[in-house]
Amino acid sequence: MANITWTPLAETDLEEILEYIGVSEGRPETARRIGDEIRRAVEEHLQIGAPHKRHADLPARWSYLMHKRWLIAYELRGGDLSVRRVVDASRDLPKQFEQWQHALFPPKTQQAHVVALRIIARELADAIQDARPQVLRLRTFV
Amino acid sequence: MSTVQSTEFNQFCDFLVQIRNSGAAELTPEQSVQRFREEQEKLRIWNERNAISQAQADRGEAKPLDFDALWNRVSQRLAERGVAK
Repeated sequence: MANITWTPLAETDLEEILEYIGVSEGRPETARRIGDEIRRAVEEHLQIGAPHKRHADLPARWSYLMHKRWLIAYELRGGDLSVRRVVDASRDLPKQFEQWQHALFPPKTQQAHVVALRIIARELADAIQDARPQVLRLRTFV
Repeated sequence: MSTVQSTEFNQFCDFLVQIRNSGAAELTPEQSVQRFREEQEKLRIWNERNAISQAQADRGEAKPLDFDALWNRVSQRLAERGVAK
């Protein structure tokens, strides 16, 4: 079975992202869910044999995948996957990676609107799911 | 005032073209330079951290992710910063 490893820096990247989400949104449970999603996205990427995307501005042999707005850079060695970086593409990715930005925020075409709406719908569903326990807690107080 | 290196000047031109083509908010020349410097800094950090991560991998330091341990560290820092569980 293929192994998945993370470099210490990739772990630090993920920690910083989760801390940022926890602080900026004030909801640690959202941060934890997103961390879990990122971890599972890497596992699924390897399991389903998804295509390994490359970019000229990534180090040689590195590939990347996107999960929502987070870019996960990794290296594949003999079927094993090693995560190298996790980056919030909307915040920390240099402008040089314009094509990634376009993948996240596509030009205003009809097809792009459909993609954007799907992302918004998924975000809304996640937000509702996060809010549900709080509503239930409030009800118990009332 | 130091002379701008030609490569940096070309990068700045490319940056301006990107800004214009992306239809981003209009920037004054001063703001354009500031934004360019910010992007340069992002790129420097990006490359620096990529190199660190690659070096760690080359030294065999990559290991399976212990997500629960990672989350405990994050959770502790959030608590220290006053973010409730």
